[in-house]
Amino acid sequence: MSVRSPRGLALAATAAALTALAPLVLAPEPAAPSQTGPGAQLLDQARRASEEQDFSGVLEVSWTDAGGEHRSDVFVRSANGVLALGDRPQVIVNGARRFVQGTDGWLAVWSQETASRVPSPSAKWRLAVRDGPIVAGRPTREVDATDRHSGAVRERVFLDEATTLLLRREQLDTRGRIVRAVGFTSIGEPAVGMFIGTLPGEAPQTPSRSRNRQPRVLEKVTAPFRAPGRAGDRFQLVGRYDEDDHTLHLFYSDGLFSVSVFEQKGELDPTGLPVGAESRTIAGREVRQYRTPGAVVQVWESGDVVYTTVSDAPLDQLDHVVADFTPHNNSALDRATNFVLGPFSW
Amino acid sequence: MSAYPVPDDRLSAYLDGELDTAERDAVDAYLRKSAEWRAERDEIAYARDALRGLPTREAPPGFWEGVLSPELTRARAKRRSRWPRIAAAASGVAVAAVVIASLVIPSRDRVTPRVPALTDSHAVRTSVSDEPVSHLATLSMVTPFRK
Repeated sequence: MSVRSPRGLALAATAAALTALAPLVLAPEPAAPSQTGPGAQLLDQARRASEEQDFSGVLEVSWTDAGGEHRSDVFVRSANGVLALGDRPQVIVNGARRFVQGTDGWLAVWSQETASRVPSPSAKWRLAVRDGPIVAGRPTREVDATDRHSGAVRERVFLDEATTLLLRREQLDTRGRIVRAVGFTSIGEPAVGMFIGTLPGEAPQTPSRSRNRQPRVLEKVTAPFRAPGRAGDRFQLVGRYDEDDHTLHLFYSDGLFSVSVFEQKGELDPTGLPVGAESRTIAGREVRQYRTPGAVVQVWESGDVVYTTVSDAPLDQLDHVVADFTPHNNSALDRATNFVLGPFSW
Repeated sequence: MSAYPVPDDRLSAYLDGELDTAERDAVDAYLRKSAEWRAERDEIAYARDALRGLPTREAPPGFWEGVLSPELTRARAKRRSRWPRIAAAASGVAVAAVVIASLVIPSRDRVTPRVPALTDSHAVRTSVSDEPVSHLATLSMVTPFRK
């Protein structure tokens, strides 16, 4: 096609410019530079290193809540692919299997390999790798996860430079203050027959007997429960499970943090909840919130369902998850049903 | 003898618009040609307008009972006496409906999430797809929350 007139040339130039700009204007999210990269690869190696390396040491867990800052120590040892946590120990990890010490012996709480459906952390977070400080006497590589929108670092991970074993991770709030951390204060090679602190350093063993308390994988979710494929800020649904007491467990991940949403049919009875909840209002719902050593817990109800979310993600990432499970407006049918059945719901 | 009939009650019906077409045509013909019919029409119209202009008054208590026959008065009293019974019956039906509804419509279960156990389930699931030590450490800790 030939365009000879000045007006035709101007139109053609405008159309070409708009065509070139369209992908930039219409892109809904800033494009992730890569699904992998050095940071994502290091984090992936760290996930396997704790079961592939033999070591023993002491972890310090620190967290803050309304009562102030708290610290607690946990003894950890790993040998021959078996990882044990706690003095007795209380938790055993062997491959995909997880055992937890119950009141009447070991409980097998997980045994299935999971498909690799967890998204890459670099899709949502900007991961930067650099030399880190000395942690527990070992030089580290530091991986910083930065919010692509605010530019704030929200998680720092310190990996053993020699083994990629995770030595410390810190979670930061929007102002850069550490709100939760877990890291080794001492770590070394396990020595059979020797004592580390006041505890024997023998190799951990997988329990020979245990009672099964594993969740069942669900293929679909039925009403009144809901299972959106995405929740909050790019958390993707990667698992649906049926827990005890007819509790639906939805597991979401953004590659760096995870959110569990538990749904139970009925009306919330708060009398048996743990004490110490903070009261908040999110998306028009009254939410009871707990800050625990490893997670933030939020309990609320919407419709005929009681929701409990548990997440290791920063607190500001969770409000959108609550909103996604809370209908903004009841339908006319809902309102009519509530009007008719409301008086009988005692 | 007049060529037209004496004005009759068709004039009142005429003014009220109650005549059929043939009767109305006949009265129209009389009015056009008979001064007597026209005079009668004007008197009837004046009386109607005067009556309609009078103010309305409520009858004093007992007036209508005195005017109406005793049988009709008893019938009205009987009709009034039914209302309390109908109201009582309706109330009974409403109470029965509430009782039946409370038995048939299941009340919602009251749920208390086992928060420490759910927190552990989250940590276990997270440890499968993430680094296990940092996520499972809290399961071996005794904190006020986990008691």
